[in-house]
Amino acid sequence: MDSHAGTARWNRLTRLLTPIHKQAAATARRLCRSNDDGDDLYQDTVLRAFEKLDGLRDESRFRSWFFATLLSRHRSRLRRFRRVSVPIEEAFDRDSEPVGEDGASWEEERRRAQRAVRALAALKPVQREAVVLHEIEGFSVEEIAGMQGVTHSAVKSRLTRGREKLRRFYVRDGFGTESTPYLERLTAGTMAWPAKGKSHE
Amino acid sequence: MNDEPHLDQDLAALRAVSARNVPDLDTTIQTVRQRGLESGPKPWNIRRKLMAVIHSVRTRPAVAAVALGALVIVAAMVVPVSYERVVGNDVALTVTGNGKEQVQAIAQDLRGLLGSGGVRVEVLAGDGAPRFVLRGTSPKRSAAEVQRATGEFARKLAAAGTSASVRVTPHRERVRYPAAAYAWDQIIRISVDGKAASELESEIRSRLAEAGVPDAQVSVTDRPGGGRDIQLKVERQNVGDPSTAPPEGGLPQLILTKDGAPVEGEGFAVKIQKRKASDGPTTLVVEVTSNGKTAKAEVPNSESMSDADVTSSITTQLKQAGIDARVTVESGKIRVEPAK
Repeated sequence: MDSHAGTARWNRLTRLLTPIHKQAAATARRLCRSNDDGDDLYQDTVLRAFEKLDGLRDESRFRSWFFATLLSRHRSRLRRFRRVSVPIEEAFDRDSEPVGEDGASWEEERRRAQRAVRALAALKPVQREAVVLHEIEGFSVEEIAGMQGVTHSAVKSRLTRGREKLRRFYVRDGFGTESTPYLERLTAGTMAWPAKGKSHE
Repeated sequence: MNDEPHLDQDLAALRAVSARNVPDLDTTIQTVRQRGLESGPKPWNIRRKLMAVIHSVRTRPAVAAVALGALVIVAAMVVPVSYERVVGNDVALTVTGNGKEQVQAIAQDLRGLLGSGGVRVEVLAGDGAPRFVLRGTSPKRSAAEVQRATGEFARKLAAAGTSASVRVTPHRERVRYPAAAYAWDQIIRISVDGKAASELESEIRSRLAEAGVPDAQVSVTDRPGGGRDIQLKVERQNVGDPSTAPPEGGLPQLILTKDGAPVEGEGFAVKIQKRKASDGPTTLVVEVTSNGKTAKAEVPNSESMSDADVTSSITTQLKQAGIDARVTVESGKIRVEPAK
């Protein structure tokens, strides 16, 4: 593995990963039920990317290629470790969180993040991927279609169904009603898909 | 603090929390390289990969089916089976009224004709002129072709004043070939396109002889209203336990094709077997295929029954299986035909 060719490949991968490392690592965490799981998924993806890197000719496509690999590893791990789950309460470690007023703010943020993870966990993997990539990462439907290897309309369908499930999750848990403004926005006009204004991290 | 739950806020919180304390790239690469080294060719990693393959197969039944099919095909192409196969034809040419030198010359010519390694000469002593039997083996599998060539050879000898007769029999040998070759050997495909009844009859007989069934009785006749009747009769005697399936005796499957596709639909095929235990009763088994439907009638102790009872038993069983057939039994000879 650490031969000259291997070292050159690691160097190439490091160079290509540098601009997207933080976003990709964070995305891996967002797809999983805990940060630890996400970090493990990310490492798994980096290793797979290293193994397949020689097949990547066009380096301008690295970002979408790497995220497609991430999604592939995500689903593969779900199939292998379906019965293993981590309590969502332990999803985010608190060791490095501040105390005092800032600590209270972080605690509130952590609580909300846990709720989002719990809601996302109710979705099918492909729906969760679509929602995370579109809503959090800001990828366009076309980009997600390329990463998931499906059609544009399939991604739209996954987003619509995913949002509908999230809506039901919040209503069922008493956090919202059919008429709350954010739910209206989630369910209305979902097929219009306005361009996302968010920038990538 | 706004406690009102809000999905956007929750997702934003997730975005923020999950972006905290992300290991830097160098640390990640170091960890991954270490993992890569650990996942070298060690026994537990091989086992893990094997388990991953098994899991992958279990979660993808369609892929598993295709893989299994491919495995079976590969096995059929590779795994050898032992079976008897017609590898040529034995020729016995009997000549009378010649001297030793003449017979030697005839043997030389016969060897050249057969293209075989050698011709063995046997002398049959008798009261009259000596008879010589010249035996050789042709590597050609077509009995008709060998019969034609040696028959012509015998006629030329006769024209030259030497009495000669020839007998051709299939030369079978036990061979070991892949299962796929065995299956191929057991299937005879004959195209009916553009062939007259007599041509088809001759080809069926010839191909069956090549496949080691030289005694097949074949009859192909044109129906007045169109269509064709093909009758094929092969008699084999099998003595054994009637409760066990009898061996097929290497009988090949005959498939007639028209425009490249198997002829189906109006076919009516009958297979009659008499299974006899070494010291027990005879069980008569009649298998009929009509318009794609197959039915089997079994008549135990058929030898002790009258022709009428055997007829009734077969007719009833076939009818119960949905095939209307006219059955006639005369002195033990059974004939099954499609009901008009």
